Amino acid sequence: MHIDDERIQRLLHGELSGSDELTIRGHLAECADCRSRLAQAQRDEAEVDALLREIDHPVPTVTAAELANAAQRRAAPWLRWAAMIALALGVAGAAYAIPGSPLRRWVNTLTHRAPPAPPPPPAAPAAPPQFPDSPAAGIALAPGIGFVVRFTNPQPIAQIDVLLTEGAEVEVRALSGTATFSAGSDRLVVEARGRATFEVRIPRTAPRVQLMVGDKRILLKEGSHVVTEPSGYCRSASAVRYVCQLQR
Amino acid sequence: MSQSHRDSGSISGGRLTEFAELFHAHFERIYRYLDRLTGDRELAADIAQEAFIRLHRRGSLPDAPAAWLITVALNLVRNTRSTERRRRELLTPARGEQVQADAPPGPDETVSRAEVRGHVRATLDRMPERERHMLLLRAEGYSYRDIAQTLGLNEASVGVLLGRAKRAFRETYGEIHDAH
Repeated sequence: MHIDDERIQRLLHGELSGSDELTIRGHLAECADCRSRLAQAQRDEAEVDALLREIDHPVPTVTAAELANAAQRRAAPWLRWAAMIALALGVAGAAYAIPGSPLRRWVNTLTHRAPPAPPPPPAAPAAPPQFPDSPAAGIALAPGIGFVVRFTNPQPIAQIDVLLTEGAEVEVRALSGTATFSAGSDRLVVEARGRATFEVRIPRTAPRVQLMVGDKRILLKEGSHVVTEPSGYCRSASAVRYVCQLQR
Repeated sequence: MSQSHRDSGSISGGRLTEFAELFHAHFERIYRYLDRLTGDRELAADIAQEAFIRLHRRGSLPDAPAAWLITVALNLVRNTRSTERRRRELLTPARGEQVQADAPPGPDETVSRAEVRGHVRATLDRMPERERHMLLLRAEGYSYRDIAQTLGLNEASVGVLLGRAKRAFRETYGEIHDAH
């Protein structure tokens, strides 16, 4: 039994566990064929590395401190605004708190002169941003570094069409049926009502987006790769489209 | 890689030391990987720096920093390329070639060396995307786990795929070399 290609490469790159490496080195001591294959793999690696070095350029001189400063400078505008607002609120609060303060008298005059305010109308439930021109219910969110779209009740969902787009936001639309969307910074929970079909649009540039039905992952888009296994609910319909059938 | 924890602030305190350590461990190899991938040293330098600026601004360090940095850098390359493609459509063909071309060989550089560089570049450009990334990431010493995580592969088959990528590189390079 000879050593397979996977283990030849792993031996070359120090990716074998200690016990596997011992076993394989033991085999190599006795097998001229495998020694020859390992030597060839080493030569291939050296040749490829040497050719790649030919196209290298000098590494730019930049320091961690310079990049940390650049990151802080970029954050500065909103920080300055936040600091100014906090300062203004602090000054106003201090002025109000001083006994005999004209600001306190002024506020008291205003509040006593004003007619009693009518009771506020009952607050409408907070709604996620919707597509204003679309007849279908939907939501669009920036995916950030990692994003999860979770469908909470799989039974009524007939189909989910997944499209890879050039857009910047993950978009989820209910093409038929209705749905409730609950959005967080890195996740979206979709609760379908009735027999629903959905369209999910994922930006190609999103680093990592997962589609879940309940606790089951049906699709993972990571970098340029889309993985539909092991659930097997989704199949590739084209280079940019996947169809997930949830009722079999 | 757990990426659910995201703060809006910058890295500070002890994390700043960790940031500096990550910079020393990864900046050079990310730059070299991007330089080899794109053939554009300035773009590679910009994107390598931008990836670290984003790491700093993330506010917390990811569980797998190497894979995180590479993933961010790759997305930046893709975004830049689609913008660049749109921009080049507005340029004349001659100007477009000038934008992409490497510097001409210097007076002390032999023509054959420049030819080798051209052949290596052409070989990389001709390789399937996945093989190209695998070859370049491994050449910078990234672990099988980082490679699998970045490219969405099964870690157990990274070795076989790497072997194939190296073979494809050598064969394509040989064909290009023989054709000139």
